[in-house]
Amino acid sequence: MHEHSNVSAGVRAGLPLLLPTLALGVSFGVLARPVMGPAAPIAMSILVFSGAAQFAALSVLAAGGGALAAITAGMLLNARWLPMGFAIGPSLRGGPLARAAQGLTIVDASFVIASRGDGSFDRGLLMGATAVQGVAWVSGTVIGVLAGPVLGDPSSLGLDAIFVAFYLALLFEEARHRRAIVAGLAGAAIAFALMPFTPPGVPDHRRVARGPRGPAGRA
Amino acid sequence: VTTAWVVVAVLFAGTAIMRAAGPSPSAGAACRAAGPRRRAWSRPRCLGALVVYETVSAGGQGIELDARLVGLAAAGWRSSCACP
Repeated sequence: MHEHSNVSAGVRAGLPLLLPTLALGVSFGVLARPVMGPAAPIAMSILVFSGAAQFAALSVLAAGGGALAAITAGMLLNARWLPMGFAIGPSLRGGPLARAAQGLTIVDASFVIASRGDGSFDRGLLMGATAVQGVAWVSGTVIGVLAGPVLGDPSSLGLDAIFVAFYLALLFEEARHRRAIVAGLAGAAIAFALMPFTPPGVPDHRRVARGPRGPAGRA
Repeated sequence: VTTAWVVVAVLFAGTAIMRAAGPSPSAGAACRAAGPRRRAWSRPRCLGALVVYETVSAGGQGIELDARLVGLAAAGWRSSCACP
């Protein structure tokens, strides 16, 4: 039975993530304000607290897509929380409600920090590292929303490039196995093929729903 | 209620359910099923599509090849070099 670190140890472990998360949050706030208004992006960062899902939903809304397309894009990226929760569940304590509450603290970087490498996870590191990122992400969004009007059009500053950079970084993290690479390339090819004919958001969803007979088909 | 607030509300509920459901004991028992593996492949497919969309989309109206493609190639080359 492993000992769990206390939350303050997790906070210390998460401190290196403070500035990068803050910067990403600022980018999200700047980009989201013209599309969603001043309050919704801040509420989204507090309530959803998932960079990939938030950027995906924002991408669809910014391109003129509807709520359903934006929600689907966000939820497709959020589906990872379920298997991550499966993995981390045995390392958590308490009854169903307490475990569910602890599950709300799962984010990508904290999941990695809390992993002991033997299939178990350190609960204190998970919660502490998530707390640091939560503060940075929400603070960054607030700064971005407030600074947005001063900065002007985000695309004129090249800030919209953050979308591609962010997705590419996540994709490279995923592409450690041949099947994941094939899946990524298949998604890219299907999106490219559908883009001239379908409204915003649809290319993303089609490639997941149908996908070629690749890895998902064999799963 | 605007579209943005609908997106925030539904994503909040969906994300909370996804995060909270995984650690429950009953969910853990079911995780050996093939479902999670299937979902695992949806993530790289979704990201691949988003990268392409953000790189060559002409504001949601077709395809436009411009400097973004060069930037993507440079970033991809740099990232692949950084991989062990």
